[in-house]
Formats: sequence, structure tokens, C-alpha cells
Amino acid sequence: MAKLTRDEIREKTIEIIKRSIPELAGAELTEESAVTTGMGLDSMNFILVICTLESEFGVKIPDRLWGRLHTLGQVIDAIEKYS
Amino acid sequence: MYEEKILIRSHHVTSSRQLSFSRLLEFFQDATINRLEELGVGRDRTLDKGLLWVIARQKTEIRRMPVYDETVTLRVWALETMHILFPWQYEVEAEGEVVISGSAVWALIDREERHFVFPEKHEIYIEGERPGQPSLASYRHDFSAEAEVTHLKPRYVDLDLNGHVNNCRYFDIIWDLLPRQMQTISHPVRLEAEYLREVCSGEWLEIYHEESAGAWHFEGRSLDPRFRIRITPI
Repeated sequence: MAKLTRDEIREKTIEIIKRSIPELAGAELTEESAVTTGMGLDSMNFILVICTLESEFGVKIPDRLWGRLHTLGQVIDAIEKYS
Repeated sequence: MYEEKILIRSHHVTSSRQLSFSRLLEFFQDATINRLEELGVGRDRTLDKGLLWVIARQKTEIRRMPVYDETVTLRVWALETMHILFPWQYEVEAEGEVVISGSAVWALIDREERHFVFPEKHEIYIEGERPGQPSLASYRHDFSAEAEVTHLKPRYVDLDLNGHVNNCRYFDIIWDLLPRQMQTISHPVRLEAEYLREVCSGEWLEIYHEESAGAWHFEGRSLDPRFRIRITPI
């Protein structure tokens, strides 16, 4: 399968986030948008989103990076790097 | 795959003689715990090491609810692990046909820090036993101004060994809020639950509930949303 461009990754990531978190369905998401509150028990939506992204893009973002994913741009960086 | 025959006894059913939904979920939870033991990641690798299993999502489709004195076959198997999420698939067979199917997504948390943990760090691995992937898509119902709101404090007996309200108890709570004709399952239904944050001892809950477009929606809040449940005829 051809490697996705960053624009394609961004578009698909935003679509998955909006599908996974209905509260964000109408939001305008940019690479600067915050996406995480960490690994706390209130972070289930974030965890589900990252796991869904991993599954849909066929990547595995290393555990040590999860705590550093604070913006959509950083999530896209990680998907790009490990795909 | 784990398989168990279960005789539906009097303490499993409601006054309609149907298996109660919360008891069905307890069967699922018990079967999953048994399967975890069989797979070598049981109590000694989790609970005894300060790791607790929690459930993030559940989806169950009921075509017919088993009744008192009926023997059913319950099966559970693991789907492919999704990094820190452990999806499970369930089915209940009665009289030669699958009458209930469902899925649940489990994860591990640290008992003290109440944070999700990365299973690999604790050498917890579960191989998918059959192909398939659960839907992780979320949903949200915007409650109307006419939605009913019920205030309650979960009882001491609603808490489980994780120190929070057990997922099954949410269904006992919302079942009381359903209209009488809905409390007995007479048509196929889908029940979906999202567990967003735990509810601990002493916390008050506001349960928003209403019917909309044929589905019943429930949302438990304690300042922020804690769980969502949707019951839809299928």
C-alpha cells in the first residue's frame, strides 16, 4: 500500500477523532488542537482514539511516546514516523 | 475459547422469569475472568500485583432472553489486543441457536494511581482467538429539556473489589428507571454502554434519561459524565 501523505494522515485522523468523540464532531481541529489528558481514568476517549488510529493506520506507537502526545500534530508525527 | 453451561436459577431472574440483564453481564464478566485464568493472566498476574481489570465499552444484542430453569451455553473468546485494550466477544446459545451476542473492551489500571497501564510493561499478552474487532465509536445523546433526571447515591453493595460501582450495577440502576413495558425484553434489543469514569463510594449521581426516536438513553453524571447507556430495538 502506498505511504500516505501527511495531509492524508491528518484528514483521516480528524475523521476518526470526530467519529470516536462525538463532542468534537462539530469542532474545527488543527494540528495545534489539544488531544489528550494523559493516562488517567478520565482519558478513556483519548485511549480509544489512539488505539483506533493504531488499528486503522496499522501502526504501533511506542508506550513511551503516549505521554508526549499533547496535540493533534504530535499524533500525526507519531503515525507518520511509525507507519 | 471458554465455554460453560449455565442453568438459569431463581436468583438469576426477574419477576417475569427472564434472566436479568445485570446477571447476564455478570455471567460475561465471570466467564472472562475464567478465560483469563486459563490464558495464564489471571489473578496472580493482575489483582495480586495491584492491577485491576476495568471495562470501557460493552455492546450486547439480545434476540431472546433466557428464562428460569433453562440451560444455556455461554462462550467467550479474546479478539486481537489493541495496544492497551483487550476486546472480548460473547455469545449465549439456547435451544440450538445463538440468542445473545456481545462484545466488551477491557483495560488494566493501576490500583493505587488509578491510571491505565501498558500491559507489555507487566508482560501481559493475550493472543486473539478469533478474528474480529469491536466498534470503538462513541455516541452522545443530547438530552432535551424534558429529559428526566434522577438523583441517587450508589449503595455500598454496588461497589466491587475495585472500589467503584460495578458496571453491572449501572444496569440495575437504569432498569428501575425504564417504563414497565420495557423492563421485560419481549423484542430484540441492542444495549450499548460506555464507561467514561469510575463512580466511587459516596459520590452522588444524576441520571439523565429519556426516550428519543425509539431508543432509550441514559447518562450518569457526577459533575462530568460517568457512563452512557443506550437501549435500541433491533
